[in-house]
Parts: sequence; structure tokens; C-alpha cells
Amino acid sequence: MIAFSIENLYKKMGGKQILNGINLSVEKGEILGLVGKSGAGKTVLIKIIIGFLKPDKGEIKINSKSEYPIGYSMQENAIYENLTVLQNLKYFAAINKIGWLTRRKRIRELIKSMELEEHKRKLVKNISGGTKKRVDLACALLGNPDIIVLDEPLLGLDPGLVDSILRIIKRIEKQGKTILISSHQITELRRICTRFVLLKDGILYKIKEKQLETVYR
Amino acid sequence: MIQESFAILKRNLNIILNAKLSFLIIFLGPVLLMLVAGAILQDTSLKSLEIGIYTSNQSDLTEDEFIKGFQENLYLGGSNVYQEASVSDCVDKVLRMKYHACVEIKKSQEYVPVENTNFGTLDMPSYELTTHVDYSQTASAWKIISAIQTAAETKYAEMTQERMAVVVARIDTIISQLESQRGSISSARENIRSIKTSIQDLDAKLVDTQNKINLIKQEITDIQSRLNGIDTAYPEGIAITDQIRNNLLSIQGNLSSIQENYSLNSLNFMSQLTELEDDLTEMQYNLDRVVSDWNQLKQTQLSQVSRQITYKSQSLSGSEAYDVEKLGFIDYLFPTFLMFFMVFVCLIFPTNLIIRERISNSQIRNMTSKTSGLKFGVNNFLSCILVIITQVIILLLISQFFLNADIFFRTVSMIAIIIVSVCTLSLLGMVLGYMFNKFESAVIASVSLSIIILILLPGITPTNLLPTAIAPLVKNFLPVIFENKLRTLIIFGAPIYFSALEIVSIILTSALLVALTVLLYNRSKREI
Repeated sequence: MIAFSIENLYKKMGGKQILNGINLSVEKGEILGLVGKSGAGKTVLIKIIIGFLKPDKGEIKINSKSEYPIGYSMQENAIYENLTVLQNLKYFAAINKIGWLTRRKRIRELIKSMELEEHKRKLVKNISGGTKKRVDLACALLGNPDIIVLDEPLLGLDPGLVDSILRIIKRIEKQGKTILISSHQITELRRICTRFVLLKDGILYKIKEKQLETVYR
Repeated sequence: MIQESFAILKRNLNIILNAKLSFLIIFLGPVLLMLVAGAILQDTSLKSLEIGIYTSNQSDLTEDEFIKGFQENLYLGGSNVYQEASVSDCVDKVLRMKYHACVEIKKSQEYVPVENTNFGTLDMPSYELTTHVDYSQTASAWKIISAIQTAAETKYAEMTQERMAVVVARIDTIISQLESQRGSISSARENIRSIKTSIQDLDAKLVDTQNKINLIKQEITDIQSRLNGIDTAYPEGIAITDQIRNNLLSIQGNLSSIQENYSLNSLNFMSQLTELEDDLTEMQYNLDRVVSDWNQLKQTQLSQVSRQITYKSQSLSGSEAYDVEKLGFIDYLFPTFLMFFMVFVCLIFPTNLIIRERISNSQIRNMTSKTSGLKFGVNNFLSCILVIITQVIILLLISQFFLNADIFFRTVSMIAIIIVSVCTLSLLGMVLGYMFNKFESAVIASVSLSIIILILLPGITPTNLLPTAIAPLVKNFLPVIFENKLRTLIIFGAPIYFSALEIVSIILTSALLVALTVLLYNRSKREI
């Protein structure tokens, strides 16, 4: 069953054709690894998928009955440094119009599942990089979305924290969520992804796991 | 060491140069600032003044020579003069910024014109000019007072000159009358000289007469001795008798001579004395006329010819319940300070808030949330208002301890103006926040704009000192309107009025700012 599909997607930015006819179908429950060299347009593609940028042409079809079909975590944590963990979660839940009761329950669940209990009253600027990433992931999951898009979720984390994040991603997958993950860290991707695509010259190519090594050569 | 320093310097400059808008605002900001300040402040002479005049006797406004001339001088000095029916109306229009000053003219009650003198009627009453002016506009208040005094002094100097000319003409007449007495005096002197000569002649003749009388005495003695001889010795008395007769004839002749001399001198002397008496009578008459003229001149009250205007200037007072007399420098400065505080905070805080949000990593979540951009805009705006109003309230509460002015005299009006000011200025701050993409550009823009607005505030540069081409624009510039209202409200406790033009300006500017905020928000959304 297809979770979402991208059809004939084009995007030009700053005079450069970033996406040049992207087509992709992602199955429900799979973890798709998106790879490509820096500047290939991975972040642009992700921003289009999450609805932040509009494509010049083409469309994204999402197969979800959820009120919040897509949750995302960007390369740079999209959370407020000067708010506490709890305040961030409450704020993003509120602006996404998640009902008050649901919000309370969901935040409680996420604090537990993301192992944030001891940090929930701390200002984000005072917590570690890994914890910040977990807070950002918690924000992505606030609406209990069917599709999770993660842009470089492991960037800048030490091996211990990488393991912690990967564990959480696996846990999310087990809940039946579809995950699209963009990363340069091939070894880590191999540990969690079920399928890989390569973005090159604005076109998306399906690649096999063993071809991953050649991408960054 | 030098190499590292140079590298750091170069890095910072390159960062600035690479961000075109930052570069523009950093280098063009001071240029624009100085251009605006220069254009505004290069000529701070008083331009066209609107002045209201009130005097208790309304007919004086068209009939009194001084008041008419005073108005004329103000008009010639580039002012527009309006006659007012009551001092409260006149002062009220100053409070409402319609007039720059109100001049209340009082004519001396004790004054009585000097009529029917040899100099005609001298009508030079003394006047008391009270200038009601806005002391809080310190840069222009004294210039306005000075312009009014100059107009009054000029007219009074003219009038004094005219009156002095009349007096001088009369003095000339007196002098010519005195001059005319020279002939009489010369004539009298001639007569006196002639009398002296006559007296000298008379003296000589009296000596001669004395000699002759002595001679007569001798002759009489001789006659006596001869008569004695006749009586005793000689009978032939005829010859002696003849001799006596001859002697007697001689005496007769001598006496006749004396008589003649006396008669001639007496007549001459009398005639000269009569002439002298006539001259002296004429002189006395003329002197009497001179004395009379001088007495009349004294009656003209020379003090009235000299300058008799007293000047007073007093601060406006919008309410009888409000005592402006107790106000000090800080009170007059406070509304400008309050407005400047609001301008600064309203431009810098919303600019900061918006630009920080826009460049924040978390903005992506805001933009993709289920909350509309309009709601974000409105609530950011409300957040700014809330914070700034809180700051202003704290400032007002603390100010109470330093000010003599009763700042809460008209609380509702003051709060209304503060809210409207904060709302519109915060919108301007938000516009700047959406206009620039770099934090430093937005901050420099908001600081530069704050300084420009500060220069334009009437407490710093009164509108009537601005170049004529700029003044109407500045007068209807929102911060200027609000500062004017706050000033009249806080300092003078005056009720607030908005002119039709001011209301139009507020509505249009607010609408423009809202439209710009929406437009720039949408543009910034596309850019991200």
C-alpha cells in the first residue's frame, strides 16, 4: 500500500533546476533512505514533501486519513532554544490545533518514548545535541503522523547519540509509520533503511544497498 | 599579530559587503540620516506663524493705532493673524496646534488721553501683552515670543517717533518765540544805554547848576553887603539900587538857565523810561507765553511718549483645574521623552521579534503549521503591544515620582493615545522586520528610523521651524501628531482634538502599514 507518491516534480531555484522530474512511490511502513551529494537538492525535495516549498510542477499524493499526515525533523532542529522542552511541545501542539486533551496525552507519551522526562523543564539551549534532536523528533510526532520525514537526523551526533536516535526511529517504524530519511551517513542508513534512492542532477534513481558506497566517491 | 587583526577586519567587512542590503543600510543609513537631519535643521528660523489676538475691547482690533499696527507688523513678518472673541478660544486653538501663540492685549485702565493742549490730543496709552505659548516646544517658544515682541516694539517705536516729532515741533515754536525776544532785549539795552548817557549829562548839568547856585549865593552876599552899606552910609541909594537890580537880573538869568536845563533833561529821561517800560512789558508778555507753553508741554505727560508696553509670556493652560505654574523642565520634556521611548521600543522590539522569528530554525514549523499567517501576524503584533504597553505603564508609574505634572489628569485620553501610538509604531517595526532578511540590517534600519523620528518630534524640532515644503508633511506624520497630543494632554491637561487631516493621516498610515505588513509577510514567506 502506497503511503505517498511524487509525480513529475520540478523545482527551479536561483536560476538552477534543482528537481527535474522526480517520480517516487513510497510504501507504507518502509524506511526509505534518500542519498545524494551535498547540493543535490535533497533538502529542497524534503521541503516540498512537507509542504514548506511549492513545486513549479508536479504533485505529491499522500495516502493518509490522519489529520496530520506528515511529521518532519529538519537538519537544524526546528525548536525554540529559549523555551523549555515542555513549552516547545505545548506550543507546536497548539499551533497545529491539536485538541487540549489529546495534546496533554500525546505530550506525556512523547516525553516518555523520547526519554525526555528528566529534561522536560529544561531550556532547550541547556540540553545536549542528542536531546535536542529527540525534542525535535517529538515535535515531529506531535500530530501522530503516518509519514515521518527526517533530514540529516544524525548529523553532528556522537556514536552513542546516533544509536539512541536510530533506536527511536526503529521504534517509530514499528508503529507502522512510513519514514523518509535523508543522510550522508551510509553505515547508519544501512542499519535502518529498507530501500534507497539517489538524487542526482535533479533526477531520482533507485539504488541498491551495495551501490551506496559509490554515491560519495 | 597585524596579520590576524587584518584577517579579522577583512572577514567582518566581507561579511557586510556580501550581504547587499546590510551593506546598503550600514553605509546609506548615516548618509540618509544626515540628509534628513540636514534638510530639516539647516534653517531653523521661524517660518509662517499663525497667531491669535484677543483684546477685551474688540473695536480696538480695528481702531486702536497700536493694536492695528502690531497686527500689521506681524503680518509683514510672515505671520497670519486671527482676531479672537475670547481668550479661552484663542488659547484653546494654540492647544489644538491651530495657532502657534495667542496674544492677549490689555490696554491700561488708568490711562486718560491728554486733550486740547497746544500740542493737540496725545493718545498714547500703555499696553500689557501676554503671549500664551507652548513652553514645551522650547526650541520655538522664545522665537515666537521674540517675534511678537519685535512686532509690538516696532509699532510702538513708530508711534513714539511720531509723538516725539509733535513735541519737538512745539519746542521749536517755543524757541522761535524766545528768539523773537532778542529784538526787544536789544531795544531795552539801547534805552538803558541812552538813559545812562542822559543821567551822565544830568550829573554834569547838576554840577554846573551847583556852581551857579554858589555864584548866586555869592552875589546875594554881595548884594547884602552892598545893601547894608546903603542903609548906613550913603543916601544916594539910586545907584546902589541899580546895581542890585543888575545883580538880581543876573540871578534871574542863571535861574532861568537852570530851569531850562532841568526841563530838557527831564523830558528826555521820561521818554526813554517809557520806552524801556514798553520793552520790558513786551518781554514779560512773551516770557509769560513761553512759561505757559512749557506748562502745557508738561501737561502732555511726557512719560506717555516713551515706551509703555509690558510683556508677559505664559505657558498654555488647558484646564482651570490644572496648575501649569508648578511645571518644571522635566515636565515640559516628558511627553517628548515618552514618545521617543515609544518610538524606540516600538520600532526595535517588533523588528527584533519578527526578524528573529523569520531567521529562526523553528520558523519552518510555524509556516507548515495549521495556524494561518494572519494569526501569526496578529498575535505577534499583540505580543509587541502587550510588552510595550507594560513598559510604558511602568515608565508612567515611575515618572510620577519625578514629575510635577499630573500625568493621570486625563487618564482615558492618555491611554487611548498611547495605545494608538504603540499600535501604529509597532506595525512600522513589524514592516521593518519583514522587509529585511538580515538581523543586523533590520536593527540598523529600525535604529536609524527611530533617530529620524526623534529629530522630527516637535519637542526637539518644532514644526514651525521646519522648511516650508516639509512642515505640512511632518505635521501630519503619525509620531508628530501623537507627540503633539501627548504634550498638550500631559503638560496642559487639555482635552484631545484631532483635526480631519490628522484623522485621515492616522487612518491612511495605519492602512498602509497593515497592507505593507501583509505584503511583506507574503514576500518573506515566498523567500523562505
